[in-house]
Amino acid sequence: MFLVLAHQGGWDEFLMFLVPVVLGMWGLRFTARRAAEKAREKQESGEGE
Amino acid sequence: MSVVIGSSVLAVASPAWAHGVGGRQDLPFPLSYFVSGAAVALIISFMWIGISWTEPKLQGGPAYRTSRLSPVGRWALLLRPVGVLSLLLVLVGPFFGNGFAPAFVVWIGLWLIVPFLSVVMGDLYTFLNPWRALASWMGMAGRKREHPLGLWPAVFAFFGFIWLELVASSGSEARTLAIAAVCYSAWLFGWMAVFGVDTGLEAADVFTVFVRSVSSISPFGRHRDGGILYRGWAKALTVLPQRKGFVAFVIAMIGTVTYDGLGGSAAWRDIFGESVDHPMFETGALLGVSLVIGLLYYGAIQAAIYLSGSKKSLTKTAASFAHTLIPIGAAYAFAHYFTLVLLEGQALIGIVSDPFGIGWDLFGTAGAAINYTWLSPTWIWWVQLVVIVTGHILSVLLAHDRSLVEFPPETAVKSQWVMLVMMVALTGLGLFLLAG
Repeated sequence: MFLVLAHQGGWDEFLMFLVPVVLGMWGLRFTARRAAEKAREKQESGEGE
Repeated sequence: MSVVIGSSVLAVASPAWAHGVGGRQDLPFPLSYFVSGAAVALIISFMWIGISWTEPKLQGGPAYRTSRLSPVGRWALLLRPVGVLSLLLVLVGPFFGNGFAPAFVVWIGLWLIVPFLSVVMGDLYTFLNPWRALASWMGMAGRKREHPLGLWPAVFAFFGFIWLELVASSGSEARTLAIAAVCYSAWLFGWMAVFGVDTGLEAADVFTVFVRSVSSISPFGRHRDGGILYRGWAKALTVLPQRKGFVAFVIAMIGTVTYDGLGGSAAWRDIFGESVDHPMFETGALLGVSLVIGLLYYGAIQAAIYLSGSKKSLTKTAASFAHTLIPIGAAYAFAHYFTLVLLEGQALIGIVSDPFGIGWDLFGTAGAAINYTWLSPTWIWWVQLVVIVTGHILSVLLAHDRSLVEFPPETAVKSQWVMLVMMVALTGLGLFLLAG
């Protein structure tokens, strides 16, 4: 890990990998949360009727 | 003379028969850009589908529209004698001419052209199947009794067929193909005699299972009354019977093409050295790559069960999601071999005039030469990219739709996280192999 970060251009290369991975993970979490909310809303509106 | 020219062209192209058209180093952009772009496309598709697709829409199976007939239609019945003649051509191959027609019939016609056309036009093989035609003419029964092995006999036959293609050094020789055709005919007639034509072919005929699986993507299908009608794209995938061995067959579809790509790559030779040419190694690697794909799939399914918070059986859930891998298998096969069809497939023009390679010129096309220059590498790459990404997006969509049925709606999207990662990995691997 140290070797990766220490070599010239290590940080920007590391960020080029890390940023998309973090963004992707955030996207998956956001989608799962939003879908779960929608499912709950639908369930509640179904029970209310 | 024309035969000599045609033979020379095919002889020069012989390595391509086994491994498609080689990779390229002249991509318009670095490969990493394409892999990243494909991953982004998959993740965005997953997000869009996850949020907007809140109810299962594909699980009801196909609804046939009587107003729109398949382009195959009743003409399909004419394919029957073509199938029988093709089998005859393979059987008599060693006794006549140059032996190119049998190799073409098996490796290009039966293995590539028929499945590829079936993805669009519906199951053509049912009409072409020479063993079905012969059994029908012999008056064999359609269904006698069920058997307990599911699709495992077809899985066994599938690996045998792929072994002949990728491992056996004489897999394209007319003599080998004729012997294989005799053995395979005996195998199928045995199954049909014991269990009936339909049951036997559904269990043991690798082409029936393969083409039926990929043609489930087609918008055209056969209705219960026998007519070929419009049903919509990918509608039949969700109602494919989840027989024993179904998961193994679908995984073998992906695993064997992956092995073919890996085996031809420079990286593979760098890692394993000279042993890559040893038949024992090749056989082990063929099975090993499929096993790895299988373990990845079962791992993703186990993760889906865990993330959804349900307590479903791993085996049943794996069978339930297996159809979602079929578009990936079809896309892998198409992207890997479509150049072979478009280039070597031109040999058909010459073969129809001189099927036995003995100097006939029935339609005046025996001397037709293959044009190897009409496809540009860049154009091929874009087609491969679009096919691979579209296949994976369709798989993501199918898996999401099935997860809404299998898992609680609140956790259905979450359950597909690992499956998505697997599909991104398979996309990257597919593109790497095609570009390598």
